[in-house]
Amino acid sequence: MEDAKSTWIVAALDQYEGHLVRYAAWILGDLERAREVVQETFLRLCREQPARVGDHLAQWLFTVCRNLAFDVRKKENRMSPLKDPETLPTTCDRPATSLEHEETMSHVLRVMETLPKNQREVLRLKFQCDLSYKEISEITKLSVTNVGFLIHTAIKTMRKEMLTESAKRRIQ
Amino acid sequence: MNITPDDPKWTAYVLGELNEAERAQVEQELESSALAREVVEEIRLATSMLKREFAKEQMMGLAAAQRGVIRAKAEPTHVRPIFRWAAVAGSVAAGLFVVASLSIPSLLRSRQAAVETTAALVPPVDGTRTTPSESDRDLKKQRTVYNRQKLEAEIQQAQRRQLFRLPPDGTATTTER
Repeated sequence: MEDAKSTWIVAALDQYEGHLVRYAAWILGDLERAREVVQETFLRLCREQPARVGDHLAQWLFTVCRNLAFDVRKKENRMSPLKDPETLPTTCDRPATSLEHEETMSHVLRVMETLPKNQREVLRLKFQCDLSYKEISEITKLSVTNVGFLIHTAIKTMRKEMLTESAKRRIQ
Repeated sequence: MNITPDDPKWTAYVLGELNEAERAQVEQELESSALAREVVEEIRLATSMLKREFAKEQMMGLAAAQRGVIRAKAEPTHVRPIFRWAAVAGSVAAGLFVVASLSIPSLLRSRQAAVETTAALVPPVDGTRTTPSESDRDLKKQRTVYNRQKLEAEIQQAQRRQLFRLPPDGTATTTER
């Protein structure tokens, strides 16, 4: 029983650690604080009964992590705007392999920056953490329909902006 | 067929969020509408670009020490049998101690009370009865006197009963005190 719980926690750690740190870092704009929040999230998981979490492990972890991160932000009274995903370090170690590709990507980042915060959050949870609409809805406390609408609107905005940008480039 | 490109169902279809019936419906529309196919293709391009963009972010994890703390906390706590027995023995000893600490003082008190009662029952040499309540106004002493008188009465009653007790042959005799 104890062994099974231990295996369950270690598996959860291996699977979600990276996603949670990135998500918390996005909320807090501080990697060290994000790591502390994620550590606390997993320590709380150790105190939780696996049966109570059931097959909602991802939702449980992201919800606890999100709440803790917002608590930290509230406590520290951070009034400065969030650092966006774009400001987080990237693994791109080939900066000049394709100038056009880089330009397109930087434009993607610029467009993403203009999106409302709730749209950026659902995009991150969907495309980075690979969560379903239902899981995102449980984490963000939005309805599944609302999550679908936010993702669709964000993608539509980005698509429109990118088309405008490519048209401009063609004219130049 | 009337196609609405703004419908979130196209994005949900690309992201695999539709149920079987909804997916079948969308696929039917895709077969019959070039506009629907174009909308879906654009969404596919945008989503794959987003995925690539997010994948570029450095994979950040916990520090090794933090991971170690979690793993240690997750480890099952195995207790060696000898410690388990020690824990049981300790619990029993603690229980006995509690019982003893509660029962011994009351036992001692009752024994002391018995001794005091016996002493009180011994009649004075001159045969006079003292009235402790006159000399001692303390409540405790008054209570002792009351108890003593009560016991005396009970003893006298018992002695009276003994005077007239029936022998085994059935004849009533008086016995000497």
